[in-house]
Amino acid sequence: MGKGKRVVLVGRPNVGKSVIFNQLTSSYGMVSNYPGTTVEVRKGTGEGSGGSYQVLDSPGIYNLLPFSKEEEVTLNILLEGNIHLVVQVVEGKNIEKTLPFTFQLMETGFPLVLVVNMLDEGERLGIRIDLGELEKKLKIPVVGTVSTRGRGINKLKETIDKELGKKLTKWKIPFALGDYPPAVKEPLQKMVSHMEGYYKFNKRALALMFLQGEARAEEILKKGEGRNYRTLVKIREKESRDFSLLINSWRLGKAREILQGAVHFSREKTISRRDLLSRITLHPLGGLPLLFLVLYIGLYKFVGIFGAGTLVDYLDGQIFELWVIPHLVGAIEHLPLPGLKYLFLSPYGIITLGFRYGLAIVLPIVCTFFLFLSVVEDSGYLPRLAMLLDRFFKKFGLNGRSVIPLVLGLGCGTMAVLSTRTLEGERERFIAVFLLALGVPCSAQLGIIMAMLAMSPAALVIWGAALLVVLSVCGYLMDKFLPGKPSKFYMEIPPLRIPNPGSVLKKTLARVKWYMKEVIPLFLLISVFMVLGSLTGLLTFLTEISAPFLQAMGLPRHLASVFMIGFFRRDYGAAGLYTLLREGELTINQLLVASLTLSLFLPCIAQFVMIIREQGYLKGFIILILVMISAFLAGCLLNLFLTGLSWGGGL
Amino acid sequence: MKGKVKIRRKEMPVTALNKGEEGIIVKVGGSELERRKLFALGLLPGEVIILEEGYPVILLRSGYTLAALDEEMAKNIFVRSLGVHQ
Ligand SMILES: Nc1nc2c(ncn2[C@@H]2O[C@H](COP(=O)(O)OP(=O)(O)OP(=O)(O)O)[C@@H](O)[C@H]2O)c(=O)[nH]1
Ligand SMILES: [Mg+2]
Repeated sequence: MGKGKRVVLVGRPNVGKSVIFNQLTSSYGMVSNYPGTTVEVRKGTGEGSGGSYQVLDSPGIYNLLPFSKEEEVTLNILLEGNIHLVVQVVEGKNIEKTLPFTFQLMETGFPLVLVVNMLDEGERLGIRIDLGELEKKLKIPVVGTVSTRGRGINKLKETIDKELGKKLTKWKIPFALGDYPPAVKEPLQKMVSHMEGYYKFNKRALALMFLQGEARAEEILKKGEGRNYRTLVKIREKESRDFSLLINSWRLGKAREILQGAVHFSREKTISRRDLLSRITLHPLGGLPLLFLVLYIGLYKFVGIFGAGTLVDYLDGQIFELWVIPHLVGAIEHLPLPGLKYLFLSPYGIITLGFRYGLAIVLPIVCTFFLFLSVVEDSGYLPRLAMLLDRFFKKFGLNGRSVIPLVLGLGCGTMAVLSTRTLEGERERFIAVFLLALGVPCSAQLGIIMAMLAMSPAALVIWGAALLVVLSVCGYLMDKFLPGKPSKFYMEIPPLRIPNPGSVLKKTLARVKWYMKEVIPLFLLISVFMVLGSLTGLLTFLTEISAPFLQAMGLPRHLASVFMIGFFRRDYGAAGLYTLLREGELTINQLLVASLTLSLFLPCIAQFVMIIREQGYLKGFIILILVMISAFLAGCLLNLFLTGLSWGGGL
Repeated sequence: MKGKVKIRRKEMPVTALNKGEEGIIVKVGGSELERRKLFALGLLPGEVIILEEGYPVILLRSGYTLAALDEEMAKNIFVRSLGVHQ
């Protein structure tokens, strides 16, 4: 009965939709403690008694009037996605603020199930919700859950099953709620009676959105009504009332009315230790020292020293050099084809370059970084950081919201480019994507660079400072020269949560798996390209061309290949540098300049493809060219600065 | 509740509240889109809020939601003070 039907999960950001999606289906979608984790629709399959059904996880929205690109995605599914059942997820303690959205969904006429999630947090605050009473008042099924612990999930599955089994009741509005005050009701009725077009969406709901001036509803009505559209505009204008306020106030009042008697507060809220920590993270004087602590312990000690130092030394120096490579070499030597041997074992060969870089150098760093990132994400620290850095980011044409994509960029630039969708304006998205492409080193690259420069703390500081200066200057110039202004900042700050080890591990694994899937085909490709390049002389040619540029930055010409590899993957470029360093071919100054230029240099292929997908060809290539120029200039300047210092080659 | 700070009955932007002071929202201005955002966060006339922090962003608690707004956005919210809440 439920076979082939579609169920969509909707709700405010950060209420646990993705956790529930993961429980209902066998697929895995990212879960993090900040609004805007899910930026694309995810599809999975759920099993019901009547066969399997499709479950869609959507980006969080506050109501049916979207604010950013990723929110529009959700509205689009509702408007056009042939949905059979909507499951709205709300946060128990915030139910009063979300019930207005529930009403809005009810008005659309979709069959609706309400999931009251995070009951555990509500209970901790002494809030008890009488779900039966709520169900009676709303006249839709209500299920209570603690999704992270699986509580209530079976009940939810049963409910979905039952609802999907029902005959289609679309368009019948269960409007047991009463109606809007006359100031809204009258123009609303007038509009609905004048509407002539055919819509997949309920007319009344559409008219309500239109009354509030929602652009998407205007567009749909314009198309559906043709010349008649003017009549609707006239009805709206004639009243010249504050419809947004009237509608929203009525909904909130209704929510209160319904919750009376359904929500009980049993004790006064006490300040717990977590509240205290939360307070510290919210305070500027507490937040900044905490940031340095997080960066120092998490990034420097754990990822840089442990991941990129200890682990890589062991894997690369012990396992690979002494064991894996000799064995593989032994095996390949016996192969009949000499060309094959070259492909595998030459300096750019599949084993010597791709395999080793990928598994012995990049993998341990990526694992440690993703573990660190997952803990930070799940704690709820990022929204607090976003808030603290808002003023600072405004100077670069961004606002606090951009903090999250930029931090994600430290994990992997490709993922981060996708998450710039959570930013509101074109302008901010462009600047954020540009800065990501320019100077936010991805985890593997960052790890390798930190490990290389760790022997000279001064060099590490210079590298970090130079990177920040370049990013700041470029961001500042962008803000100056691009028309427009950064958009205003608003964000809901979630409570701090203790990261659950299970979900942290699961997320880290999912990311590492995803990362390796991207790396493995590429490392084959790089090796093939580099081997072919060196055989055909293309490499020599490119080296010749880039020699003057490298020279201007005080770098030896054989670094050209490192930069070329760097375009395939930034982290591989850094790994190439690492090899040269081990072989003692670079001075510390050169290393520093090369590290900076490589950090700034071209985004890797995967990231570039994503940039084009998100920003289009024109902007993509503009970004590419700007990045190259800035990287080169920065390299030259740093070189001048370093050689100008009397400490010359001996940092 | 104790009314240590003199209760001001005047209408004022939420940015003028003291830290820890409670206020009731009387008006939400700004562009239509901005108002919709504020409404979505549950900040609409009749609601009671507390100013938790005033710098670097305005942090408002209303019910169990904590909303961070920049000054530009927050100055469109007008409140009447209800004094310091404890
Ligand atoms: N205590 C508790 N935490 C929960 C519960 N459900 C989800 N969480 C946490 O809430 C946070 C948000 O969960 P997500 O599933 O990413 O939320 P989402 O609704 O998909 O968020 P967006 O994709 O940003 O819209 C995570 O840190 C979860 O661990 C619950 O029942 N109890
Ligand atoms: Mg999600």
